[in-house]
Amino acid sequence: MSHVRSIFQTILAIVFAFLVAAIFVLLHHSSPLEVYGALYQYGLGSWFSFSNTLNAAFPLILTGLSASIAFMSGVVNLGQHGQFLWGALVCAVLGVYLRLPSWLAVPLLAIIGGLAGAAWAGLAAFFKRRYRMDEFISTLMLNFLAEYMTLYLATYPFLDPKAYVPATRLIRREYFMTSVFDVNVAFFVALFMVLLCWWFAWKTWRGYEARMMGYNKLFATVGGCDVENDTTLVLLFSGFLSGLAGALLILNGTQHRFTKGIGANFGWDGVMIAIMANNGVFQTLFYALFIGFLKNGAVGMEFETSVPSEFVMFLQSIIVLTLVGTRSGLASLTDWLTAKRELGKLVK
Amino acid sequence: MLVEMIDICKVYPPNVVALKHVDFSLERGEIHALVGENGAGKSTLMKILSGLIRPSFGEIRMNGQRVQINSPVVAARLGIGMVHQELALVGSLRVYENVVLGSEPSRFGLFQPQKSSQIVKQLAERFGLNVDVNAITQELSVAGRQKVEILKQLYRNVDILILDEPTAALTPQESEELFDEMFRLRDRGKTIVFVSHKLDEVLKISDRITVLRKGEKITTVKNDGSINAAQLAEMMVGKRIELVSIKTRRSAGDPVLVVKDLSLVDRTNGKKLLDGVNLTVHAGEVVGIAGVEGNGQNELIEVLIGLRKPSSGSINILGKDVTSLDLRRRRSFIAYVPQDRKNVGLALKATIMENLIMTHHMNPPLRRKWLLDKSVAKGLASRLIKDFEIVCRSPFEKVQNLSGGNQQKVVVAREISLNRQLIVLDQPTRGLDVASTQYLRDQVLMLRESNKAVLLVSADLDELMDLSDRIYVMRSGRIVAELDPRTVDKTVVGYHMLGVSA
Repeated sequence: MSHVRSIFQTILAIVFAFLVAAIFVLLHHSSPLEVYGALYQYGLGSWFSFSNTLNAAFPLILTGLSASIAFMSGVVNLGQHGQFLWGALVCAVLGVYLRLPSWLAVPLLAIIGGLAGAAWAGLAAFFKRRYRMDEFISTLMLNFLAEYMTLYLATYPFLDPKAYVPATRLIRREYFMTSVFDVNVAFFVALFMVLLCWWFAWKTWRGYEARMMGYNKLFATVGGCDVENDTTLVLLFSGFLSGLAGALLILNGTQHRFTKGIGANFGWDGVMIAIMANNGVFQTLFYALFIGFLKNGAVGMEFETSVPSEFVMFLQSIIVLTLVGTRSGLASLTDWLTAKRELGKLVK
Repeated sequence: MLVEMIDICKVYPPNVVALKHVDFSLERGEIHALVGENGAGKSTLMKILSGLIRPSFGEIRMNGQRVQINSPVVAARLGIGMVHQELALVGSLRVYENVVLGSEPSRFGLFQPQKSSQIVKQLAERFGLNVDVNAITQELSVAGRQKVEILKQLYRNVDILILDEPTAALTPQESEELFDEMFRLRDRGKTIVFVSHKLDEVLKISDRITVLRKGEKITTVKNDGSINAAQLAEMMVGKRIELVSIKTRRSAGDPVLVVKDLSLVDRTNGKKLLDGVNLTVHAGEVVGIAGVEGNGQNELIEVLIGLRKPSSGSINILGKDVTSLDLRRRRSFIAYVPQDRKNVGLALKATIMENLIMTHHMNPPLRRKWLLDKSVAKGLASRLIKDFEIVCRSPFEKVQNLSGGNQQKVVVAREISLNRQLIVLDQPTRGLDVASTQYLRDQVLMLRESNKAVLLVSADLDELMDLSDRIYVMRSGRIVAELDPRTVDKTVVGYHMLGVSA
């Protein structure tokens, strides 16, 4: 019942968000029909567009999971960006120098990239255990360190001399990950991680402890949960997911090398997706796909219509804001209506 | 009529009906008791009168005029003030500063401490409230701080003073003093609403009594000797329930918990929170801890279960020194029902099942290597729901949807089913209705029958006297007396709590 209702509310909120955004399109003197037509055409309209949407979504699924798993456990990991960058850099550098058969090297590179992200998150875990430092601030600050450290490594020691911008050399061609019917294998890896996260959160006892910690940390502590180790584990796992996202983007993206700005906004998009998804695992998948669709479709909007790319970003924000607002608005509206009905029964 | 509340209904979204067509009135210069079980709607009705929440339906009249009380500020302007159960004072300020806070006497924009202190002192004298206006507020007892709250309202010239369960945390002696003060206030023309569920107190001091039950008004009666406690109780609960706990005589077994010279020093100010505490609990024995709140009971429990490390001393359970064990390991010896069930005992947003399997989840059969066995969890949850008569739709319902009594049953069911030899109960019946209270008291005595060692902390002296085999009295972090409830009177316990000789 509550599942049906929340799905219904989500659909209603999405429709309403597009209506609100349409007003701004009109204000911009463009036709909403044309703009949304282009969005659909490039985001979902054909197999080509659809597979592109899936390919755009895989890093978002992983950074979204990274945030969701942390937040649902009451661990405020905001370091997705830094963990992502380390995953990408380590994978990109090893991808140049490592010499192994590709069937072994590709999964190995992905896992090592994930571990690099986990190690970076592990720093925050260490600070927390040793010095009681709040991971909220440490993960956030570590983002800046990661940003400049990876940039330094890509600009000096590992710079591709032929590149115009700070970038590492192209990874070995046989390490490029393939795609199946145009869908990147990385997308299926992300799907697998969705299942793994679900299994962790709902089937394992550590996952149970982590979720209880997220509901009420004192309750979990007094109940005898292994709070300290649970927190560390969640931070490491969360970091692994972000690092994996970075590594897969190198292996299966379009550039196959670490360049300045490769992290784009994947980290913060992940945090946003987790918040939209209420830290639910499958909801995270859904909203990551939704944001992927918007991003991919936005390319079409820019291409086909007169709206500039800045406006596309603006529209995206409007849609996300309205969606979240409407969803909670609808929830309190139903509560209010139920209350009215109860009162009606009472006073006739 | 000074105040008339007519046909008040309140629905909390989405569907909690708190008040159904309640009429309530106040006459000038009366003490009007509002009684009912927890969840009967007393607080809701008084929050409406003091402007904290708005009614969904109905109207309020003062002196025949219809009024809208949209906020506590409006209520104050109309002369209505409420003293809440949780006192909201600034601990570091002096008493008079707390009283005038918000509308300070000032000249040229400067605060006038001398004048303030003077005004407050006169006010206290006029109404016969015995409190040192220059004392630092946090150094006062609960009773003292309550007087500050009352002064605060008087300073704002309220005519109608609402006292929400004011005697809940007071000793018998302090309650008596409060009643004298209430009489003096009434004699000086103030109207008092006395919210309580202690029927003997209600009968002793009130002029009229209104009984609420499940959001409905049952009656308003004049307290002129025509009604007694049993009748009131029946109106409150609906059926005849008497709190009886029949304790069989039995001899205690071997010691289960032995605490030796336990001390805890506050590192920030060097204050001794626990000072050389010695106590023993035997198998098959209920040991009570009495004391005015804030005299080290909370700290004692925290140190016992392992939330805080003691500064010195030792804790022994079943002959094993557990002083250096962390909370997680200690939990294999101790079952614990915390005082604050909403913030410590439960995860309100988690399901009933998830709450019931906590701590059980650490061991087989629930835990299987990495996994949690869902079918065992379900089995355990359904069994506990049945055995402990937890009223719910399914084990997958969120705990926050349950009533207070059923929430507490979830905690107690979980802890008792852990089957530990030592059970620590901290205020297990606070805030529960009569039926749930009786149920819990029976559970405590059953634990005693099954040869468990029970340590019971309670602010309810009657409860301690009824259930305990021995009572330790705590004051300023020390155990100041060990009493046998069969041979001493409640007032004697009170004297020890206050530290005055009988």
